[in-house]
Amino acid sequence: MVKITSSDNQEFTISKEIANQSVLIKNMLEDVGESDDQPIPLPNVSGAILQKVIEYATMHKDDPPPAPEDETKLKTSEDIEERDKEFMQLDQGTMFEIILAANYLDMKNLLDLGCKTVANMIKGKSVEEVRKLFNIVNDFTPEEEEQIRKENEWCEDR
Amino acid sequence: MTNLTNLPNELLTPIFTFIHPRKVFKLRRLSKRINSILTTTHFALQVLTSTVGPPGPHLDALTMVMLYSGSEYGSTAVSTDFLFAPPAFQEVIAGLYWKHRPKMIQNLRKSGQKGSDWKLLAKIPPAVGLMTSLTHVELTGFDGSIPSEIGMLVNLEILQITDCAFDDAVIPNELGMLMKLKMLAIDNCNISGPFPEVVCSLVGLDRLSLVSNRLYGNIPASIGNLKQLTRLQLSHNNLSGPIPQEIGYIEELDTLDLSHNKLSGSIPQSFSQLGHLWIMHLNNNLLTGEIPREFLENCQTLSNGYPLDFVLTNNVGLHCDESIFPLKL
Repeated sequence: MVKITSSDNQEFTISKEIANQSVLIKNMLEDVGESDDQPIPLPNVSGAILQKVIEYATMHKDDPPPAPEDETKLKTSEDIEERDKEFMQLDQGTMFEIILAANYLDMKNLLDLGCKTVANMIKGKSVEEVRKLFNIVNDFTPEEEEQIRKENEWCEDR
Repeated sequence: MTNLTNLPNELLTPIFTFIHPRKVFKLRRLSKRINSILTTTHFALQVLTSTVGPPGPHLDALTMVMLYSGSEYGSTAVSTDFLFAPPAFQEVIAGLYWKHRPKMIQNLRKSGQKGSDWKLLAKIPPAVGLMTSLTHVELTGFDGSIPSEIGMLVNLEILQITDCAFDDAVIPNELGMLMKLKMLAIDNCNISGPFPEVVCSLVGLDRLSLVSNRLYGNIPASIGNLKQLTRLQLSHNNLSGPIPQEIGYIEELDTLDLSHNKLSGSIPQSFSQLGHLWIMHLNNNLLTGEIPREFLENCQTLSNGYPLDFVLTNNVGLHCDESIFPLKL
């Protein structure tokens, strides 16, 4: 078993196969060796988010090892598994925290899942709808925005 | 609360790469930061790699299909999406995906896919200069100017630019780098300025056409460098001064159209040397003087082979000894 601590000092004890899904933790474990039972500090992830990440890793602990990266394989955000879709039904704050955590912990599948989920939320929406959905502040002057709108005449209504 | 805008650029990029290039660029308008991410070559390569595949010659046809929005796909036409996308995207497509393409033929007059009220007005993307395998380029209906980057297409043999609403454009000097050029036609493109002498260094030219522009001044004597020319067409400009006698030494010339200019002086004696001339339009100029006897004798010889299409009408004072050969004046 492996012990990890969150930024707010919550301690979690997890199995090694779950821990190893994070390349960051895996590398740390290899560095410190088997004998050390000191908890691994993860100062960039809160306890609440770590809880969710462990939930994801537990759900996927029996997945077959990933196939070697095929450079020519096209990427799509339409191929999300049903259980992952359910897992990502979160408030936006938690969702983006999970994406940041997945990036920090180096968990490629979870990061991919997060990015696909956000992409799917953007798809099919107008610029104004996307801005509203994610609270994106329009920081263009009216002239600058008009310029881009002009350059985008070919794709605005797609 | 953590939001989309809290993500660092290296996490925003993969999110947007899941959105097809045809749909992602409208999101430039979201905010300045997102605009700056979407307009980098890094993003362009990422989004193309994930939606179309990594660059390589095998992908050429596929990229065209994926990116093409009009009805002509599968042809040599360039996607109109390519023409309007941000320059960084054009650079990645042209430099990595299309660098093996031999041909680029694009007629914007034919490809207005949005209905008649929406006019396609695109500039020739400077990124075209990265498609260095091009041997044949035909562009119709563009706007802007001729980018100097065209001069990077050193394998070009045919360059035809027609019916472009350039604003007072000039022919860039870089065109002089295109030493393999056999045919150069820049017709009806609002090209202005003095005769672009740079074209006289393209010694492999078989055909030169600069019809219906706003060129003025003399035709330079260096036109005689173009020894391979068979067709020389400079009609409908404001060219003035005499017809250089050097044209008479371009042995293979079969078509000469200098009509509708302000050329003055007489027909050079050297024209008697043109042994293949078949079409000669010198009408609507300010030419004067006696047509040289040697030339009329040449006409007699030429007309034995084939009927001549010689037009010399609407000049100010040409004279012809009809007893040798009757040219209509």
